[in-house]
Amino acid sequence: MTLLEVQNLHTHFITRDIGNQVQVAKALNSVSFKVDAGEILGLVGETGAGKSLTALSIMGLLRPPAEIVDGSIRFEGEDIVAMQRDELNRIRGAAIAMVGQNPRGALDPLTRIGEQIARVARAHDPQLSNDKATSMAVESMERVGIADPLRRAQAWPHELSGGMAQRVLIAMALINGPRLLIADEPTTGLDVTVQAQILDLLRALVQELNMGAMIITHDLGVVAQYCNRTAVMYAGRIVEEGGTRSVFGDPRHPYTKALIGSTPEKLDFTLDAEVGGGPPNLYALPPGCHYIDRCPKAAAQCNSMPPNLALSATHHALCHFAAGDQARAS
Amino acid sequence: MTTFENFRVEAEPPEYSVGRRMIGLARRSGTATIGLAVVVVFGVVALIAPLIIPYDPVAIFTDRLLQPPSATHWFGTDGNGMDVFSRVLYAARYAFGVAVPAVTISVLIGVPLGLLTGYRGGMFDEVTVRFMDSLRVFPLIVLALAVVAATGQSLLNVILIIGILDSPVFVRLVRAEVLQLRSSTFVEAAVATGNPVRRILFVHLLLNSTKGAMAQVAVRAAWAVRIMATLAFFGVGIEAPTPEWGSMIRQGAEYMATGQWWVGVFPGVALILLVLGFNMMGDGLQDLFDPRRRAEKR
Amino acid sequence: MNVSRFLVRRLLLVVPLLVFITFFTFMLTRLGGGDAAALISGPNSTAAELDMIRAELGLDKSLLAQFWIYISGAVQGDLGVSWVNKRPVLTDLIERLPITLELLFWGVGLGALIGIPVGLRAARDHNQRFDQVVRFFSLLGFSIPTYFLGLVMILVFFYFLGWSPPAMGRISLMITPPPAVTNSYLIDGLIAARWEVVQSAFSQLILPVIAMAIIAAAPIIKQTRAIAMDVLSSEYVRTSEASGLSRRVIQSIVARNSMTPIITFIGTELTALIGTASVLEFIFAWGGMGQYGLQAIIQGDFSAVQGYVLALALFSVIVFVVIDLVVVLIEPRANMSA
Repeated sequence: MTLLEVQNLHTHFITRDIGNQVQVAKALNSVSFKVDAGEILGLVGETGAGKSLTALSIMGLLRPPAEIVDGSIRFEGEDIVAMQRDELNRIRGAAIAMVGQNPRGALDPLTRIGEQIARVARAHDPQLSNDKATSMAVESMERVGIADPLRRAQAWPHELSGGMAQRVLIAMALINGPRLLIADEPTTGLDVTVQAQILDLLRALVQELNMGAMIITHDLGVVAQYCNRTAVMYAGRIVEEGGTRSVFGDPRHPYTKALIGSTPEKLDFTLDAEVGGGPPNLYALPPGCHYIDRCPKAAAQCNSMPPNLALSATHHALCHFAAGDQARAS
Repeated sequence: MTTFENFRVEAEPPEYSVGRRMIGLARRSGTATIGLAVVVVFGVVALIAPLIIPYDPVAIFTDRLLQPPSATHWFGTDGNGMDVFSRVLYAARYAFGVAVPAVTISVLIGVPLGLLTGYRGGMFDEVTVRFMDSLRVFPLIVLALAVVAATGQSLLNVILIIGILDSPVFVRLVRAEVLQLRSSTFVEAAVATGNPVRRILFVHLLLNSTKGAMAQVAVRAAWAVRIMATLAFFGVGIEAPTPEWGSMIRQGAEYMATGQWWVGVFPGVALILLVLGFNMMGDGLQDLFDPRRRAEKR
Repeated sequence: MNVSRFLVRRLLLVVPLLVFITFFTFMLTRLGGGDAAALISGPNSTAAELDMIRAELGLDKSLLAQFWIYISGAVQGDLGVSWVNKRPVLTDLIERLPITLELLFWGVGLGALIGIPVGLRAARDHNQRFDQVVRFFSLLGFSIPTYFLGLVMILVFFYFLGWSPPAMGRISLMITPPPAVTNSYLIDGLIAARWEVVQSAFSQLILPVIAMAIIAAAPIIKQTRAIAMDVLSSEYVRTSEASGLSRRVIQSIVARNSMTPIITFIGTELTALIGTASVLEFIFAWGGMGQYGLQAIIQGDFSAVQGYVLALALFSVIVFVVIDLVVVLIEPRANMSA
């Protein structure tokens, strides 16, 4: 069942610069993807590719100067983009939950963590008594593997380690039984051992609760190990998407190839090993393929918009040459 | 790189020349434009005051004491029989005559000291910063009054003391920026390629770190005009019957409770207008030099 | 770590600052080499008279010796004698301090009561109509000289409208003051259970307190807005939004997290505001420490000036320590050993 369907999403930063000219940074340009119940989608790409912005667009957390200028985001068939704040508040924190990067910064420093979690429960059920909300919070903490949750509920955020804070945030995200979980770089800044614990926990919870999940990361290892499907983002577009095995085993977009080639354990692969240069200027994107300036295979036709070539029923790549090198030779 | 709250867009919109920015700013920020216009009008008045005032600002008309505004005396006359309108216009000369040199002194002391303390660090920095912080326990108004009163009544003293007392603002600003810049790659590169310290300070840091200070100039000018008027109001530094707004408000003070409001109100309004003009202009300047504030606005 | 030990430690840190402050205030009147003796004795005095006065004041000694005399006196509570009213400076200051504090307290209190909610709302609706209007008024507040505001209020509310009593002190001249307990007529009137005293003291307070509040509100609004904007862009506010918390709940989270920096700011701002209060006292013939000090400055009453400036600095230092303490007590994160 499709939980989330993002179609043709365009999110731009529209500012008036000091010369009084309107400047548009095209951060997301026609992003489309789906998340089904019970699966984990990995969204990868370098910094500035628009991964987090995609998550924030879905959660309705954009603030000026960022705004959605085109496209739709459907959650269980309902278009989120058109929703008012109140309607959105029924969904976020309940049916859709998000876990952010920087877990320690994501907790209100002046509220004990048990109360913070309970607060989210009460926000979605005004009839809920304080006691009931608190016991729900403790239960949720227990489920994410926090030992002695009753005592921990009394802790202040600054008393927690990064890993513990992330567990608290996951407990907070799960308290209303969400059907979709978005994890934005859930393990950056955590110790390597803790990273694995958190990701294992997330995977177990997704399976147990039959949620859909989206993990945003720049760590290909995480995607390879934990995600069923992979979407690769570059300069505000998804350039390749497919089953994780398929994308990693047979990458078709030159950028995906370069990304995989640049991870140390894959250095022996006979792929283009360089991810040279930087991302394009979002204020002046190339008209065709966004990767044109860095692509070793760039040709004249790359100045026109590349097609989203279907390589199989589930594997797509946004490249003129995705079908194979033969196409280029002809 | 532009930061939008927690996002980064890894690119910069095109840069403009200062002139282009000014035009853009004028079109965009009504506040700054009005502020600038007010300041310019007052500046012009100050320049040509002797040509446009109907009467000598200290001429006494003994037969016309405390006359309300009329066709002959637009703003009325004060207790000495002087023409308030002429005096209000003429006083713009004192405002600019004190504010401009005072702020210049603040910048001339504050910017080099900020550069040095920020770049050198160590004892010198420690002592300077501690000294400036210690001065913060005194209200500036009282300090200015007490120092001017103690050092003697002269316009030069007023200018010097306003300039000196306000220089820590620039020291702090420049120092903070230097500290940030010092660890940046391009200064490290300059050091590594063997540029002498003085060159690094003046060429690299000066240009980069004074932007923030420049943004403050108009706000500091507003402060200087205000404090000068306050000194004059208390008869410290500038004495009656000098045509100066603070001093005129002092003259008008005694008539406030008896209804001859024009003696004090007109100079007060002029003072507020110019200070507000500078403050509004300062608001715009901060937009101009501070990219973070720029992004916030649309 | 308990509170009293925290306080002792804090106060010890303040000692070098106190020495500096004392030195600075001492130097203040010696700066320009103005001759105090000449000021006291008037223009027609002879050289012999001048020498006598100098000797009497200790002005014939070296600067360092003079400073030693001053500081050892100050430690024992001797701040010298006013040359104008011939009374010990310390006595005058102690008697008048509560009068100033009363004005400061009500004025800043009212200013904060208006300024904090307005600043919070301006941050929430930033760049919208409300925010723009507030920004302009805050700029205006920064641009109005205190004394002029006081004078205009007298003109409007006393002369034109007749709503307020004449600005001649803290109580109507027709009423005999109550026995002095706190030196605040409002409180002393309540203690003595004299309704007409309370009423008169209150009506005298209104204008200067409102003037004080207007001057205090401008920086409080500006700073509150900036602090709340910072909190609004924090990760935890975003988490709260992502969790579907209502606008009201989020606004209370923002308010609570803004409170500590706002309190700290108001504390540091009190230094400037007690200067503002002094100016208002002067305008409203308030008779507190501020009026005393400003008059001393104008008349060149050096001992009184020194005492006044020293008292202002001490006030700031005490406020800073109290603010630190308050922050420690209300912030779960703050560590007392810090």
